[in-house]
Amino acid sequence: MTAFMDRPPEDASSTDEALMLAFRDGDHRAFQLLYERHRGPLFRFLLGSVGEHATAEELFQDTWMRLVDARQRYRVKARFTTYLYRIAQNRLIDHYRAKRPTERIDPEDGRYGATTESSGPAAAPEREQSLIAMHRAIAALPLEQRTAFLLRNAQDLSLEEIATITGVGRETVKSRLRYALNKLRAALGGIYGPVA
Amino acid sequence: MDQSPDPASNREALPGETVDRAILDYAERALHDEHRTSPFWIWPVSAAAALAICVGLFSQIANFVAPPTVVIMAPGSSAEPGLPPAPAVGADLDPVSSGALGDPTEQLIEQLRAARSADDPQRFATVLAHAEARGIELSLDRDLRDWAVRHGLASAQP
Repeated sequence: MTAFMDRPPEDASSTDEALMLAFRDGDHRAFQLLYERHRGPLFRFLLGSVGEHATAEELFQDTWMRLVDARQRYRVKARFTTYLYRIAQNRLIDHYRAKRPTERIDPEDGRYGATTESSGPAAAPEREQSLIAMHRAIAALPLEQRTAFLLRNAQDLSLEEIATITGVGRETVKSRLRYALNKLRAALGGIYGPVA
Repeated sequence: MDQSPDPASNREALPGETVDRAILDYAERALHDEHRTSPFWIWPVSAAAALAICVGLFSQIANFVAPPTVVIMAPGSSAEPGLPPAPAVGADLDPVSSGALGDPTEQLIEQLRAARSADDPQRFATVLAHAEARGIELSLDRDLRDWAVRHGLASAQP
């Protein structure tokens, strides 16, 4: 008899870690709950990192499939979020390695989602223009700073968790965040005022 | 200012439905395949098969290290020191080594009876010696004992 059968079925109030353990032991419903919970935040992280919807979808799908494939090796050593984003971060690194090393995301080329492509500045409402400006400013950040910023602000992860995901020390994460925020302040100060 | 989420932006900031379906199907298929390839009886069967293989391998290794020896005893020789020399007997006098089934004592008694019927004291003595060499104590019935006593092959005491 599997461990899953010995436990009560997981529901929406279960922790991420309990859901992942239940999925590991054969509970597909637990995976659905996990997926619903992290679908949006993870996709936005990847989209913010690569700036292209199609590429983000590809990395997003690959991240979840790797999670599925690695389920039997899953042990609760940290928050599930750290585990999931570590997989995503590894996929991002693979993605950037596969690209030409000199290629950078051009914040002016409108690749940050279809919305920016279809919305000319003259026709866009004020709020949308602000969002576009923010996306472009984030896309203009160096990769390491962009990753740290997205994990910290979009996913609300701790410095330690970001350090674990990105494989660097806590102080390095702090430094990257400080640089990222300074650049965003400089780019968006005229629109938002001081950036937190 | 309207603070409600912009529908277009939200739609673009989420994966497409096809991607959702692909991921959920992948997870479901993975679980299904896992259960299909590992039915509940697979572990006992696998364990039994593994044990049989191990036993077979062990036997092969043991045979390789110490191959079974076949001792062909010359007439009059003995495999064990301290025992009297084994008589030269034919395969028909050795029901155990010849693969005959049944109680060896009964087989020897039958051979004694055959020697008695054939009135062959030499053959009778050979069977007795063979039984003694094998450490088998034979209990002769009255007819056999009397016949053996008459031919000096046994004492009068039972």
